[in-house]
Amino acid sequence: MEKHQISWLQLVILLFVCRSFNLFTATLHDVGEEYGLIHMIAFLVAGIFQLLMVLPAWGLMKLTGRGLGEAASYTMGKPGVWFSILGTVYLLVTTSLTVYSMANFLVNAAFPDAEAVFFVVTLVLAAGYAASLGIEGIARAALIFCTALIIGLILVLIGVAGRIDIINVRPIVDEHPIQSVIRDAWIITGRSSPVFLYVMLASRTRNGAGKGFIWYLAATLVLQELVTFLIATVSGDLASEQAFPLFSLTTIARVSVFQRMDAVYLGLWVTVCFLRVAVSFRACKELLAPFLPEGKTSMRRKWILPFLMIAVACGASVLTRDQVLLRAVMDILSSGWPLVIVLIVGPGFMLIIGLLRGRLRKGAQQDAG
Amino acid sequence: MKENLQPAPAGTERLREDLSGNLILIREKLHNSSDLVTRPVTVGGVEMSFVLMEGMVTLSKLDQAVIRPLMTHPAFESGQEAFEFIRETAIVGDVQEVYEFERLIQLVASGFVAILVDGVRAAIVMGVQGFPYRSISEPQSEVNEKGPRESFTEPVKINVTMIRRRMKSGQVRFEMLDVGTESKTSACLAYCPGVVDQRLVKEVRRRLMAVPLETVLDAGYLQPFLEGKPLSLFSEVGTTERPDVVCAKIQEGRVAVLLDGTPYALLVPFLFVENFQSFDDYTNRPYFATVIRLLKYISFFVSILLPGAYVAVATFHPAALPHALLFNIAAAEEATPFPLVVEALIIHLIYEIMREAGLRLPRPVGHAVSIVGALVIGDAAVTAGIIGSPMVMVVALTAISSFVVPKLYEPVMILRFVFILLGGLTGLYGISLALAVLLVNICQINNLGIPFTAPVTPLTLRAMRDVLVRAGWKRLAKPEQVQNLRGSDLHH
Repeated sequence: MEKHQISWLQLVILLFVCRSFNLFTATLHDVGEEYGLIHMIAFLVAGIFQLLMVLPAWGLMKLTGRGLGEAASYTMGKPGVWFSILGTVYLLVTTSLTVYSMANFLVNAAFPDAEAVFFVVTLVLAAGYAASLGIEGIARAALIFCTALIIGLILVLIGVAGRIDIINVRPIVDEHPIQSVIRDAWIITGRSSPVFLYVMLASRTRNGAGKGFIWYLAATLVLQELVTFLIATVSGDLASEQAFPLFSLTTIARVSVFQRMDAVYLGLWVTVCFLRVAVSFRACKELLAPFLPEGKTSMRRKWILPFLMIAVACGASVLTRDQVLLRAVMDILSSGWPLVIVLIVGPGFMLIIGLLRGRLRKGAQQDAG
Repeated sequence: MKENLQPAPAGTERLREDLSGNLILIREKLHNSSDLVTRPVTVGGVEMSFVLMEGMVTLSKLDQAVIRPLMTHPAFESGQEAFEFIRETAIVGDVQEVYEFERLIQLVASGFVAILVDGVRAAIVMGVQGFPYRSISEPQSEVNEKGPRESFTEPVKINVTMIRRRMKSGQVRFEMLDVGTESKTSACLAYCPGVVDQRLVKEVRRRLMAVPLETVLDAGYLQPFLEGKPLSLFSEVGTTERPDVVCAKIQEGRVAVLLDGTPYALLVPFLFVENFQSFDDYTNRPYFATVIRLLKYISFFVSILLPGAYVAVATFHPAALPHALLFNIAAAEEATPFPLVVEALIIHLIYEIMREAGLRLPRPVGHAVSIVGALVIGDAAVTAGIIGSPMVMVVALTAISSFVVPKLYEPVMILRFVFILLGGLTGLYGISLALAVLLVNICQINNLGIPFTAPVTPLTLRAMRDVLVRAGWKRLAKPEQVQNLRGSDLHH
């Protein structure tokens, strides 16, 4: 355990900033939909799905008095390493996708002559350095990033306020609206890897992580609704044709003497991406560290971070070149099953094993003692 | 003499009864240094000797305090009686009995006078120092408009009295210790025992005692030993040359370190936002102090980011600029042979060279250098078409801004070059990424258990009344103690 810990509010802000990255680069039109009321409702339902999904992991952590990585080691012993590996692979894939998305955005929107690999490598190096410093620094910096993010969104709101047209919000015309809402909500949930990050880092908080999760869901819901509303009302049907709808919005936002806000937003998105990758690295370390305790294996522990950095850099670089693989990865993640495995199946299985071995209450009591 | 033949362990060799033996050993240990004065005398039938360093003692004080009372005494029955007489009648504040050579030599080298009496295995040392030193003057780097104009000087004892004069209630404690294995420089910890967390004092003391340097000539030598991890461009130890600032800081639960021979004090723990606070903030009216403080924050960001951002936007993101400005920049840059990034680097390099030259030269010559720089190089470079005039304006604004927060000049200078390079090579992407890394780096600093970025993050709302704004004295009456900031390891 590190000496310093973070508060639940810091964790909420940190993961809120991480989650905001999805709004920048990933959009619902990937699944062939258009912006409208359905999506705004789907975000709310996705929040409920996420709340339900974390229950097994939450129960496991409560009953063992440990974080998810440590609980895997405690309830299952050495075989628990497989859960950690599974969780790490999930995080590595989602992080690679994050880095790819950023590099892809930068090459397409701002630096057409640059190589995506350059952005991949620099981002991973910067995030790796931040992760090596510890979670406190990242969490503290998140408050400042969050403030900048909110100011940025307010500026966009001001910049496009004159173009908002409520008529652009597509009404519910679907024949099976409930199925559509549930399908979209499930896709949103499937792409909500920060939920897993939240669960992973909850053990780093002093207390109140449960209460914090509700706040996290509420804050992300407000953000998603606001951004979706802006995109839908300003861009209208065009939004579903755009690669980066929010970015497109910033190119038409005019505030004071600034012609466009996209350069400012580019900076903001980079910092958000950097933070998200750094948090993912920390979470992976949390998962793997219990299986490489201090002492004889301390050298191996030091190699975790370089290994993660290399893996993400390679993963993101491959994704920039292989569109088939990229599509496959996105489809798998959107299916929601990877998140179900790491949040429900894995922790649920550990709960059962722990129960059979009589380790659940005992762990919590030991912790209390 | 028999008992004295056994050598004592190094560094703890004790004084002997034999006066001449003691004097020989003192001379030996000081390598027969020419400034060592040993003056054997016989008073009242007892042999004794004064040991002192030439030029470090006020002889009139010594005469009044010791020699005159001794002369009035008819005779002593033994050396011990003479010793006790001197100890009891010496009219000096600082009188100590010393039993070891090492301590004796250290005190004599500090300007004390030692009196050794034949037949006594101890010496009396008296603080009758009298060496020339610089008088108290106005602060040089923390100039203020209103308020007191006293700054620390070199002798630590005088600096201690300057603090004591300002805090008379007895709540301040001064604790002396020696640093430097060879120089044995006197360091003084100043803190308020009723306010400070004792764990903090203990840790500062431990770090100072563990300083492995042989010679400590300036408090700057100690600074790295008081800093923590990770490595950062920003100093985690505050410095001030003002005794009033030290008084205010130790009332907030900090520890000040004064070092003999150094005209400024070190302050720990130190917060990033303290770089933007100055004494005038508290003497001016709150609304004005708030505006000035906001100016300082803006200047800080301008001084590190403006040239880099200018290069990045003009090179990679020109669409962000208003059209009229963009055309002006394009027209100015059209005539220059270098890319913007090279231009920015050259002109900043020239500026730093001139600044350094102006700083080290005598003042009249320094002014001449400034004139040459501003008129000859600046004007000529633009006229010759080597540098565009918008760039000159950017550099001028940056240079002025960097002096608004002088405490941060060192990191600002380095960061400015880094951001110019990144802006020129990678545009706003590189600048944003570097800024994010820098932010995480300073957010991770937790020196002595206090987050460097507190009270901004982790946020302590109560303490924010003296960060972005400066609240009125009615609201600042109760100082915010540093250990109570959110995220502090010292918080109970």
